[in-house]
Amino acid sequence: MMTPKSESRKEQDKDSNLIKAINAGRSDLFHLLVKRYQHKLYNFGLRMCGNKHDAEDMVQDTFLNVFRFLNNFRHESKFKNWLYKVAASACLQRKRVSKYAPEPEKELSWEALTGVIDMNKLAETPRWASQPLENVLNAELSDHIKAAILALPEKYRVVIVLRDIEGFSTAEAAKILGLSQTNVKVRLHRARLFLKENLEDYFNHVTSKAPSPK
Amino acid sequence: MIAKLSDYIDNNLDEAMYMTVKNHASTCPQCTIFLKMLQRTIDLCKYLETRPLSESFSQKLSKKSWKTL
Repeated sequence: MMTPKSESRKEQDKDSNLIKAINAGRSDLFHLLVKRYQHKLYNFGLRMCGNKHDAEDMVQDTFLNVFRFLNNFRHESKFKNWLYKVAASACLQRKRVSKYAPEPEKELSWEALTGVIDMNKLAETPRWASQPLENVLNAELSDHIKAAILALPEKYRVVIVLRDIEGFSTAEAAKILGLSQTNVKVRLHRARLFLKENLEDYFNHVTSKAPSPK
Repeated sequence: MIAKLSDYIDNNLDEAMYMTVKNHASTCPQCTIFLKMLQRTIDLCKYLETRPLSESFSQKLSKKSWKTL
């Protein structure tokens, strides 16, 4: 039976062989690399930029840069990690020139995040945290979470997207972003607390709007 | 305690600190609830739906002449 670890290794090997072939002159095979990652990159772009136009531009910019600099890829990390490094950089650059969505404030202070937490109010686990996930996650909530992620300052958003949505480890996210692992962990925790508070507000609002039983 | 909860969930604490958080959470109902909400927040992010690329954009990428760039 194939374990997740061996699956991951197989994926890495698959990229590695393809890249070696492209770098050896088979640039006509580059479209296979595009096909393999275009969907994931596009969704990464949507989470980061918030609109289809910027996400598509980011995907195109990323593949252009990867094509130009693929010869510099030394196989010292997974190709996917290098690809996301290029993509994250393209996102951050694109955001600076985009006409869409003004950038929210740049910091999430610990004092501001923890100042709103009232542990004494926590009498029982709310339904959104106790019911099976499939009973909770619907299209409306999904849209709300995406908006909440976009409301995060960029440097926190990119960390939570890489760690909790794209599934990179702390060490991988740190390498992709050129940060220390401690810095990634601090930003991730603050981003999660921000989202948790946002979800609590959302569900309090939804619950208060629901008609009371007769 | 709140400062340690992501590292606790991600198993990023040394054993002593991990046990400290675990023992505290097992006797503190508020922390248990807080932990469940934080874990659910992470799970909701993990399972967010994805959107497909538009057919036109996908075709644009595949038709791009990468060989001649």
